[in-house]
Amino acid sequence: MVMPLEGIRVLDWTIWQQGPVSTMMLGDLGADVIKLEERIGGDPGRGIMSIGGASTGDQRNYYFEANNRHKKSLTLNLKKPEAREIVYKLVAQSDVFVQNFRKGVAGRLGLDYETLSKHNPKLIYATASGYGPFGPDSGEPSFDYMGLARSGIMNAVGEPDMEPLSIAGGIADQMGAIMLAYGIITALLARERFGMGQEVDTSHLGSMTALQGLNVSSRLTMGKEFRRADRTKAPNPLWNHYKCGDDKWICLAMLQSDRYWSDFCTAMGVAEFGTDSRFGSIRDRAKGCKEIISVFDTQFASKPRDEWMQILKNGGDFIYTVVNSINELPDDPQMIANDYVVDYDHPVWGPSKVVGVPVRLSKTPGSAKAPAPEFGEHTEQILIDTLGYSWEDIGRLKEEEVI
Amino acid sequence: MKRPLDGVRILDWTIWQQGPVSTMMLADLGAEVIKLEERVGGDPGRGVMSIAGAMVGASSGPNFYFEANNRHKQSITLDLKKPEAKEIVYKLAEKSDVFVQNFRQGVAGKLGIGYQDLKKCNPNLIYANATGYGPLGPDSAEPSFDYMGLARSGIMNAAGEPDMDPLSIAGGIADQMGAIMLAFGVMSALLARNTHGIGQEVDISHLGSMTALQGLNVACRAMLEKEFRRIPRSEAPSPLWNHYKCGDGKWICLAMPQQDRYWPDFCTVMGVPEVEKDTRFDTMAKRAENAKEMIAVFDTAFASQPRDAWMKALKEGGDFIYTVVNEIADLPNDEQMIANEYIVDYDHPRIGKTKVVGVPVRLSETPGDPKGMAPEFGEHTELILTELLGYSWEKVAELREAEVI
Repeated sequence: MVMPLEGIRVLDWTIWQQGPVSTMMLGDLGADVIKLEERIGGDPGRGIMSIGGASTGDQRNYYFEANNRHKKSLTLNLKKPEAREIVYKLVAQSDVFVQNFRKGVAGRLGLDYETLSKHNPKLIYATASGYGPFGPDSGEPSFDYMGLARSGIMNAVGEPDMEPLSIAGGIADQMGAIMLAYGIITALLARERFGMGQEVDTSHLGSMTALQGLNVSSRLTMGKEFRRADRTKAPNPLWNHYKCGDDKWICLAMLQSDRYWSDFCTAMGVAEFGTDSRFGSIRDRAKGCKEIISVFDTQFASKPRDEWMQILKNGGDFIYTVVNSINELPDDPQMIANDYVVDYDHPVWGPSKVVGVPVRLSKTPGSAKAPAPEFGEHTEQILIDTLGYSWEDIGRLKEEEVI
Repeated sequence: MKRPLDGVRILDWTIWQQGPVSTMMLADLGAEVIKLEERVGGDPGRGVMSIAGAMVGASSGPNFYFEANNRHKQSITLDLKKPEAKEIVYKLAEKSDVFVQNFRQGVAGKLGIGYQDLKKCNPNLIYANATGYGPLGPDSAEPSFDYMGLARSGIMNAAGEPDMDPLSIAGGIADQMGAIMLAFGVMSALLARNTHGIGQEVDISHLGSMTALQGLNVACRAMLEKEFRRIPRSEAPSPLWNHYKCGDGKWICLAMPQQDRYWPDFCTVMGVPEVEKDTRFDTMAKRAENAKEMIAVFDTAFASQPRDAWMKALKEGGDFIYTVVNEIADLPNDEQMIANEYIVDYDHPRIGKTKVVGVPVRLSETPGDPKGMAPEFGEHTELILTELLGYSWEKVAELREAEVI
């Protein structure tokens, strides 16, 4: 089957996570991604030994692997004019250029949009930053954690009296990457339809705002945001999470609670609640929520989760699910059935699992199965096959420490 | 300027948030979006009075929920159980590029507007589905709301500190994430149609999208069989990757993974230069080992001045990586949000002067536009039938009489 980005070439001058994941997503959809790496050291993501307490040690560097599958690696010393020549020649044969360096860096190296668009007027030039291309902080460096902090999400996580809380796992970087990939595909479509290249920008701040779009809209239109909810006082006891007897959790999300109330109380073994006039309407239940939740807490604690899941399945058409940890995802049958996690026989590591493509496209599906490149693995191949350099040229460029 | 989706028509048969936001995003980029609404009641998002404590709805002013999820759209009302209403959908499908729906698995097929039905009217149609758990597997037909996506995806156990119960995240991010991935999928399919000439089905779900959002963490688990741990703030292994409370109760967040570059300057700025060479803290490893003492040193230091003073000191004291910890309430006044149009002023024809969330991606030659209003219920029914499908006014009256529209 064809892939949506088949025949599209992407030059990927990005490091760490936000930039690399965006081009990885394009690689998953069939783009040919050439990763430009600094000749000494390369993407610092290659050197990550420990992040968030998950040490790679001498094991697999999942960080680099997850962010760079499908790509080819080309090493260059971008301070040398001949290396820039190589980039310019590649630009002439590419569709997209992506970078996530600090504002000003690309310009100093002659790799900014103005320069590159001279070599290819239809080029799509994409930039990921922390805070966007304008404003007082546009030149500031950023990592994932900055995106969490600045976007307000650390004060939207958890319960009312808690301090700002972090979220493990790099979601702001990931979110920036997803929005950048979205922007690039949009620009590719615009180019197909109208024929122009252009600049595409996104940032941690802008992407995390989109992720919280409803909450930010609430603030803008109503002057108030969604409050952190206190689990023991959730105004709708059927929109809450509960701990079962084996310390595993179940989450309920029955927004239109009238439809479910009586059946749910019966399933929970407190049928009398279902007809109790004190709790007859959604407003009554909000008033009595503390009492209701404490009764449900006691009931849920009386049996392990598996039993409750069975009871809820049989007791009505409820809206509920397990509260997973990341640890449980690879074994969740739903994850496997939809290829959200897929088995992959990695050429170096052997049998492994990787995160799948989140979007299913029935006729032009993506693919998550490919290794990340070794440092400089494709330097010769790209110079010879794509740009037509000779082996003599290669020998000289190596000698001169250009590649 | 042109917008990227000028001339693209989308039929939007979605309700609540996950579906509607995806088509709202496409409308921001220029698509013409026709919202198909059930003749009686319409999108229940119109009737949302209170979500998680934020009152919305007519009693307290504009319904921000419906407005935020449906700007730019046109509304047509139909009784989809009636054959003549289905006819209208088929005729619209012929003239459209994309059909989006987020009903439970099976509902569309039963009504005769599943992919198999609509592709007969238009083989190049892109048919997009948003669900809770994906089109395959044991839970593919289960209903879902935002909270289910949080729970099932593991993020409730990735948020917060080690010994905490699973924590919720306010604001509907799983719905929003599903919407973003669906817009991404539709855009990819539009590009594939342009280059390869094929229509197809597109699927996303809360579970799949939230997995993508946590892609690095899930990759870590999938490949190394361990996950990122929740980090205890007071014992963070790196004092330079942590958040601190200042003297006025406001917070600052630091993210300097390459600690050694910043360590001496940082100790100086914080007014504790002696800490730099303190043998308990003079290497990265020792700082992690003595984390509790280490963090306490900086907690005390940060508590000695209000945030503004620290922001200034950090700005002047070195090339640090730091920012304020905002609340959602701070965003509308954050200069950076305004400068990049992540929030924009909008003079809403019905609500008056307000602000709306902008387009997160800047496209220099084909920018999107967040300024548009959500439609009144059925506002465009006649317009669409008469102008787009060529129905006569007599026919429209007949359809009204018969309660088709």
